[in-house]
Amino acid sequence: MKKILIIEDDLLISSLVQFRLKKDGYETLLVQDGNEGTKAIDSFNPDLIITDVMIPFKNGIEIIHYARKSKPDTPIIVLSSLGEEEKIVLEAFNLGVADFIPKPFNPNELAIRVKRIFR
Amino acid sequence: MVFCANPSFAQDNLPYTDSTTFFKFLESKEEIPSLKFRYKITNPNPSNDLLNDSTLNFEKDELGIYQSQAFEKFSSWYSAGEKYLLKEEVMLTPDFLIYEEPSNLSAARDYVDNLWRNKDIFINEKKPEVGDVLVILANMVPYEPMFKYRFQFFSDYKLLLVTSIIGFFLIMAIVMILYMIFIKMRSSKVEAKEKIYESQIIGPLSELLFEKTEEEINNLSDAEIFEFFPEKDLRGKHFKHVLINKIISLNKKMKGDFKDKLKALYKKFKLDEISIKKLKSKRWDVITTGLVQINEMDLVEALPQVQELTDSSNFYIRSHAIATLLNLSENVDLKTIKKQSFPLSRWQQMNYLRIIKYLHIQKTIQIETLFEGENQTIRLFAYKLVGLLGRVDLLEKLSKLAPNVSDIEKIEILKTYQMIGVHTESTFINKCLRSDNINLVVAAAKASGQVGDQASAFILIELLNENPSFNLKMIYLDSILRLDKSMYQQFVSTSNDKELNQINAHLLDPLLQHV
Amino acid sequence: MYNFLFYLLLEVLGVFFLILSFTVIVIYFVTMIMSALELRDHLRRNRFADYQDIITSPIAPGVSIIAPAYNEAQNIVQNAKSLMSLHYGKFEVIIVNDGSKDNTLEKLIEAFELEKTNYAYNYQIDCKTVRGVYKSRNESFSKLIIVDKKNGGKADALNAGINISSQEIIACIDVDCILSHESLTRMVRPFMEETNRKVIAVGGVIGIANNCDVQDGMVTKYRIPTSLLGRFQVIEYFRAFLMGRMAWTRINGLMLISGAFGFFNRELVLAVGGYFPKTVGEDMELVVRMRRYMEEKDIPYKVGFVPDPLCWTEVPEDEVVLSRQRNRWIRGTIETLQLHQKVRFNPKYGVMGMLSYPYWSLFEKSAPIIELLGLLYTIILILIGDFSAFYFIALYAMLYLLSLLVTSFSILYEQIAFNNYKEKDDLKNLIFTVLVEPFLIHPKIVLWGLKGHLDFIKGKGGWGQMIRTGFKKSEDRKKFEAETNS
Repeated sequence: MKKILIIEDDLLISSLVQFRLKKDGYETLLVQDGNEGTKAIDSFNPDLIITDVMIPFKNGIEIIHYARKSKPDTPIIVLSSLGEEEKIVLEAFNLGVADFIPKPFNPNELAIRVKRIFR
Repeated sequence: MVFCANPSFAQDNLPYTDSTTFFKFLESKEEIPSLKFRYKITNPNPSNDLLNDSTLNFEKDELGIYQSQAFEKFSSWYSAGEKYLLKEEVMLTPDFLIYEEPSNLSAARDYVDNLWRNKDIFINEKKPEVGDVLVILANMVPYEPMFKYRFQFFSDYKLLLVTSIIGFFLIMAIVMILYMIFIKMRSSKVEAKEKIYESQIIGPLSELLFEKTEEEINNLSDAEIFEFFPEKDLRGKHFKHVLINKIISLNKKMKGDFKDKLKALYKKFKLDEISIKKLKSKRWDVITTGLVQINEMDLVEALPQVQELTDSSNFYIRSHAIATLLNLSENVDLKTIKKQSFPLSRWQQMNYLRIIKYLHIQKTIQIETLFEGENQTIRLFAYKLVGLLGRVDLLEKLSKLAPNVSDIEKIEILKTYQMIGVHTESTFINKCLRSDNINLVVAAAKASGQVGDQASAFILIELLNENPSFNLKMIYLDSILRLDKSMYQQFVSTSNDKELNQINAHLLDPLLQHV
Repeated sequence: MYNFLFYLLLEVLGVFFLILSFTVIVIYFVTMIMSALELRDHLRRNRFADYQDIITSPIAPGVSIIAPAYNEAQNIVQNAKSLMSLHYGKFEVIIVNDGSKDNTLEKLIEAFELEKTNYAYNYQIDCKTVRGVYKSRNESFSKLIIVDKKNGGKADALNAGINISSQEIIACIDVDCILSHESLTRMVRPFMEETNRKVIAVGGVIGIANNCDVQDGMVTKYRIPTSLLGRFQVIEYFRAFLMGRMAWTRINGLMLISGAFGFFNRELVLAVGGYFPKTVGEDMELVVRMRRYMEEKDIPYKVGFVPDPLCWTEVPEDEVVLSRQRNRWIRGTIETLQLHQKVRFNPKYGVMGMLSYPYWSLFEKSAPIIELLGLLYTIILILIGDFSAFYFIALYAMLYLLSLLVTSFSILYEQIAFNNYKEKDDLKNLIFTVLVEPFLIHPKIVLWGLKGHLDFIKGKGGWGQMIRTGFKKSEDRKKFEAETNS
């Protein structure tokens, strides 16, 4: 079973995503802030990371940096309400994230993208 | 307090009334400061044993009157003369020394009177004996009104003031602290409750959203809904409040069919009724919340009520009402904005622009209705919209009304021309360049750089020759440079104005092109 | 005779202090209530504001950030970078190098690939000679403008920046301030909201960054300072910003906007002639002069205030540095009030003339003197054995309790509204500071204030005449400059 880590401070959104991904048979872990996020990257050892950019304590970029160092092969999907032209998002692309999904989004679409990454 | 403004008068009543009571008083005092007691012999033929009395020790004074020695204590003085006084024949008369000055009885009384009034002497405390002595003693106590003791606290205005301030302060402090504690407790309670509700909502809501189609949601019966959410909860005010917030926040972050499903759920849970009821509230923030919810959830049925709020005196209510109206009404009608009597703030303009821009993609919007807006801010906004939306089709109308509007509106129209790049209006621009209103001239000069003609350049040179301020020179030169480079170069090369050279260097510096 | 006079004086002073204490109490309560109401309204309004919209909207006004830098070589590059990364659409960053003796300018040139331009500098407001205006060829630094000028002090540097600024709103800030990404959008909002009144200036809250974690020009973790002096300033700033200025904003009587973080309407600043470099209280003086200008021209206006925590700065925790700062503040206040005596109790100047100005003269300016007098008075009462000494001691006890109450409330406001200090220990320490501050710190503040008064009296330099007579009109400031510079 593939393991997916979701780092997102909006409980509602992350729960919806979690619900959807569980339906597809993935094992998921939900954390709500950056510190928990980096910890979970090591302990949970996910096959995919879905992260928001604006989260408490650490921003998404730091998470990506950390994941790149600790788990260079784990793909990352960035979920954000910031536009694609925002500097921070561009930075994320530079760090080689697998996908970027702007909010508002459709959880079904997210599920399809996840499936595509694992294929 | 008034009753005792001068307390010294309180001891006005003397404790003696005649010589007998006076002596009684002296006896009770035993000693009076600086007063000494003695006798003098008034009998022309004093007896020998009187003259030889060793305790009285008479001596003749310079007037030839026999004076006894002086006593400080009343009792010793009295006992020394007692046996002679008791004799029927008057042999002795009391005499006094006040500050060593010989004085008679009346002088002594005056002296003691004074001491009493100045409160220098008091009645010695002693256990009153029973009987008439008590009455005498009672007579001796000066009269004082009883309430002096009772109201002494109030008699001191400073103490009164300080205490009342402290009291006021304490009461206020306690009230405020209690109020704050109450608020904090209530809000933390509500918060905790909402957290629980939130966790209860997430699961069923996800299920509904993923498992059911929009149609299925619309056909849910009450009983089916209660399978997802317990009936008891769904009737609770707080639960509904949390549900509203969650659905709206999800609606903002979701796309596609999820949005429709959320809206269907909103109505299924009868949350729309709550939102619409909010419009009747007295608090502006509640009304505005209602408006936001109506706007987010497309509650078209509330539009008539929203319409009524568009001319509210509260800025937030009216701007959200209009925004809602723009968003939800079938045929986007700007008449509500046109009729606004309140001036449009920039904040409102920004909100309306966002909505209009969004709607503009789907429908044509009659911006020209705003050209006849009730107040100037609305007309200015309309001219701005022409430029921002690139409505070239409205330029003809604009050009017709432009010469007849006020200078401020002319400036806005000039900016619009500049923004879209309207090259057919140079006559109007040149006319504005000749205006007396310097603000209009500046706007025209700036516009002429983009959309002027050869005539504009000549007018600008004329204006430059009038030696305007540094700022104006810069604007004029900049426009000439854009209009006609050779004319610009010729003008600059023939001028020896130091400022002009500076500006020339500035305008030609490639680094400063974007400033 | 002298005996009689002495007692009369004691009596008169007693009544004076009583009335004064009563006024203080009333003012405190009114302040607490008004600021609470204003804060509530602000939080309610914030719920309906979409700040994202301002960033991209063409209707939002442009902002020129002006930051004077003097010997800032160590951090200037980082500071400039974080200023440029603020979330806003139309803005420029103007850094004025005020004749630094270190290599501030060189560092900037190197980091941002700057080149000297042929900028036609226009001295609309008098300032010291501008040696050069620098811009970068690199597109990503196109927002940056560096003005290099001869040293002339902070106000003079700001004036140099104002001259070159091109946007509608100018933001005058200290270059070492840490600004939240949202600071521009939030501060610009009051300018956009008013319809019937002109917003001339908007002030913001200054937070204390000592001991906080800062990353990439952003505060990531809030902690209260370690020293008592630092903590004292935390509660002092709460009191001043969340209570005082909020309350004044409610009645539109705000007279002071912090020099470290203030937004102004550029056109108006130019109309009144910019900052007045001869005073140490240039930030307050400018606001007062702008208000005067509006009152004299009879234009409805407003001075706004945004209580959101947006700007963070390091405050001095060193006693010597802090004493100098307080000395300056009090001198600035005295000078400003002197320059604008005409406003005092003048109904023509509205709230400012009838309320703000008298308040500042009595409480902000004279507070150290009155407190000293009160203390001496009580000591004399005790020495001569007058029983009213008891009342005064009671009065002090009460004022102490009141100050505790007020301060605790300002902390509560912060907790309810923003809740930046989340650690329990921080709160505990703050409350401890509240308790001891009146004994350990307050006397020092009074002392420094008194020294400021003394220095003001001693230091009436070449412009003594001006400070005695003050500005007859708000526009006199321009005249004055012309006279002294010729």
